[in-house]
Amino acid sequence: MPALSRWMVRLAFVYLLFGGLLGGWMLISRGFPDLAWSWHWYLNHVEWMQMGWLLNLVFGVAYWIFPKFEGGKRPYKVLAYLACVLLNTGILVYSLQVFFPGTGLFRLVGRSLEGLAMCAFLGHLFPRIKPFAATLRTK
Amino acid sequence: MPTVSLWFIRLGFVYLLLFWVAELGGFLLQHFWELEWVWVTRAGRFHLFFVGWLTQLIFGVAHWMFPTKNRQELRGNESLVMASLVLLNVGLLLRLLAEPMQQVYPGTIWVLGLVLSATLQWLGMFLFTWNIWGRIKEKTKKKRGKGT
Repeated sequence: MPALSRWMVRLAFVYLLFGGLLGGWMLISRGFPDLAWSWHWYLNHVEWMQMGWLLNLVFGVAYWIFPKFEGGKRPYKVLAYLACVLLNTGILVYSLQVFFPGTGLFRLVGRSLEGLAMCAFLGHLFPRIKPFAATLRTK
Repeated sequence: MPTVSLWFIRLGFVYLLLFWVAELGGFLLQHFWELEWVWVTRAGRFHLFFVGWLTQLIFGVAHWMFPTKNRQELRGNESLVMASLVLLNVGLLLRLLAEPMQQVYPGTIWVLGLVLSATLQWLGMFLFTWNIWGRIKEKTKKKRGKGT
């Protein structure tokens, strides 16, 4: 498993545990009205589970598993690394929304960074969506 | 495919079907029979998909496919993973029961059910993560010595 994949998969599991902790806390709060404030963290729970857990895992495993080029090379690696940084920065920025509930700025910026991450990762991965036997010359 | 992966994936597909049935049923009950209480099952139905199907499928395949830990324990402690399977599923099923019941008929027993459900599900995720963490690594390189 290459280094980038290891990092993304580890991050995915960390998000799973923290997102799950939030989710569990919100579930318990259904029985305790005094804990209803925990639902302010609902968006963060969804964010950490969808973007943090799922997307990091998918990106990490896809980077590892998808067909490589001649010589076992993965093309445009820098795009994949950029995607990792943008995605996780976007998640952290988005998560700050809980401290600033009146404004949608953090959600907007966070989502924009995540969108850029998806474009970057697609740029890396698209050429690798090919039969194993097919080759592509890299410049 | 290891036995526990088999069970994760099979259960995942069962939950996928359950989700579809629950969503269809919920839609019909709410829009045609106009039963308003159906909305309290919404979160549980969503988690049938996200936890029951998606997360379990991921767990099953990851446990099967990730690099092996070492020659003695290929996939780490299988008992831990089996425990995580049981905890996750019991917790999820408990949630499906306790969450709507607590909202419709508030009471201590359902609150306990919610606490137990949350705890079991998180413990299940934690045990799986604990076991797989050591397998998120570079593929073990075989050592080659002279004469081998």
